[in-house]
Amino acid sequence: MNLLSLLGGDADMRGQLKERRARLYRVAYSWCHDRALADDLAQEALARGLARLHQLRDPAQLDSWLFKILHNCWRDCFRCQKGFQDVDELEDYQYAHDDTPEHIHSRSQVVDRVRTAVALLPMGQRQVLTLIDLEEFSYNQVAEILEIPVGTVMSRLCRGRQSLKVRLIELAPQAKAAALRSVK
Amino acid sequence: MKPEISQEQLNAFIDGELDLIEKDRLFVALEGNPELAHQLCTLRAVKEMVSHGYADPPPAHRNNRPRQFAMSHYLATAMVLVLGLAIGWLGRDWSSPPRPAQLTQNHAAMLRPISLAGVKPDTRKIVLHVDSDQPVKLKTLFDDVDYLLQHQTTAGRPVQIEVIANNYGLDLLRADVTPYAARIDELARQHTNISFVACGQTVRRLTKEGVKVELLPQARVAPTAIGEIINRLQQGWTYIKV
Repeated sequence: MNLLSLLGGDADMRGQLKERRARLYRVAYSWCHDRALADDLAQEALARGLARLHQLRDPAQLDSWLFKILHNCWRDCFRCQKGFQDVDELEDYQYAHDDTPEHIHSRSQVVDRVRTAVALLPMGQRQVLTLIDLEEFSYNQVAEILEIPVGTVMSRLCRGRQSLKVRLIELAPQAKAAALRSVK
Repeated sequence: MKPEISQEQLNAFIDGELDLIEKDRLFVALEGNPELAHQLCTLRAVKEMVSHGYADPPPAHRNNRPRQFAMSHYLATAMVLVLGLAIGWLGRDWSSPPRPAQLTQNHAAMLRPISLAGVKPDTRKIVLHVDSDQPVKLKTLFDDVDYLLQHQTTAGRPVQIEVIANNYGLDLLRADVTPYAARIDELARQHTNISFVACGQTVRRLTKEGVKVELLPQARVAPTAIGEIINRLQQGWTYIKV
């Protein structure tokens, strides 16, 4: 759990870092749906985390601290793109359109549909949702990681789940039934 | 009896964020309300689906080549490089005079660090830099110009203004897109102490992208906006980014 105590045990530390890296990668992937970018983000977050390990006051907060760094890396990645003044505007521009790279990975249909639906969510909702569902952070931790009020976390989560519900459950599987119902 | 249970509360319930009292209230509400139970079930399914969707993310492309192979690979590359350098050195033309030192000097001059130490600032000479085509920014630019010119007449101190435009800001000086052509013309005719400079690099970039750039006759083209700004700063000008 505690990275600081790991500095002694080399093998142990390597294992833990590997595991953290995988988790960072998974969340980064759920934000951008781009393997290379997600890998870079996870790597950058870990590197920054290790470099600033001395700034971590409470070792128990390591996880949320690392994900906060990941969030910052994600925003920096937007900032270095020129021509946009407002980061939020760029996030919407880049990642809230219909064309997603999802169809590239056709594994199981459900996984595919979930990722497509998540990719269609606005960035704010997507981040809240993935941090809670994938990493099981509490609402307070998510609020701290993303630097937004808890109320915003709750409302974004609520809206995000609502649109996922429509896309994943109400629309897809019952398409047949709806078609039948319209036949007289 | 119909206690209000909000969507937020349902979400908080499945995320384990409700405290005992709230949970109690929710369970009471659930008893007589199958619709609510159904909603709860659906939300939980959505949550499960999301975590299922990313349980096994596609692997990142990582190069995990065995180390020893990489080492020998590097060694071979290094040896070829050394051999090539040696052959090149031995086979060079011994009769030609050594390269003029000018090139290296030029190079050194290009890389020299820029320092503003010892520059005497002059607040009457002002560079206004604009790199955005947002109407708000352009308006601010002209407000600043007006203010400076007005200030000059009231305070009786002459000012010198140079407006430098690059990136998106270049639109200001492009004859076919600028909304301010008449304004710039008027300013240039009434005042001799204001000049407009376009960034040559931006012009070249746009031309390369296939955009035909037609500048206003009042605009002068500098090789690069950054170079122009640094020159001005070293001459003691004051820099304002709009």
